[in-house]
Amino acid sequence: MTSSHRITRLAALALGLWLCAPVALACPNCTTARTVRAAVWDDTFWNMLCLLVLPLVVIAAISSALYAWGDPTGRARAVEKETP
Amino acid sequence: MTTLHTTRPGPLLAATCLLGAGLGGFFDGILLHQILQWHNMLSSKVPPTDLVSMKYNMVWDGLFHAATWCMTMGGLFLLFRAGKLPGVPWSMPLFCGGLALGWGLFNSVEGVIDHQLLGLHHVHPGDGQLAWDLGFIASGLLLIAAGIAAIRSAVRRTAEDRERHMPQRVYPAGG
Repeated sequence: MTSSHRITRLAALALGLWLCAPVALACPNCTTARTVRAAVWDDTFWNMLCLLVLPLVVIAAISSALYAWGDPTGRARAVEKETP
Repeated sequence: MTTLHTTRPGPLLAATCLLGAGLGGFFDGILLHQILQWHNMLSSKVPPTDLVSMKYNMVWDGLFHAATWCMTMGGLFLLFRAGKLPGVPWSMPLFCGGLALGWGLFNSVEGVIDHQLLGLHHVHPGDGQLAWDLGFIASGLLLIAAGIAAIRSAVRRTAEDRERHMPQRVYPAGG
């Protein structure tokens, strides 16, 4: 590849990136982001969060019960051993 | 003197149950929310039809992933703790059974609460969404059944191994 072709390709790549970059930019503080933040952090936020974690709380409670009571099939056995 | 040696699978089961539920949550979030984009966390309440509602759902998906991350971390810590406790049977079928139990619990509990009771989202909204929802719950019940079968088998095998390797009890004559 000649140097002029390489320069042409690099220029095309730079132009493509420049054209695409505005589309790919995140907007942490643009109007859309502020609207979304306001919608998320409204009065219902904590209620929705409680609903979201409810299934996980139920599963954590079942896990705690498994920890305390052993296995769900009731097959854990105690084996006595005589020691001198 | 009598020493009690106990087969205690509880700590390992609790850890793997949390891990299975956390990983099941990540599977749901990554595959169904992000890759296939069938639903989002609150897509039945706020349908993602424009940029603002999509970003809104994205935030709630992130909070869901944060909660499942906490659950996975809890499972990891319990697993580390179980590794140091005496009497915990360290067996692969028990580990995999616990993971399947946790994943199945996630699918069935999340399916019943979020899809059916609260209606936050559905697995595949549109025609036949009830069938998709019921299929999701059924997959959870199948995983629970498979997990319990694996756990039963592992606990029975562990107890038999222990009994085989224990010396016979000797009772004093005339006692």
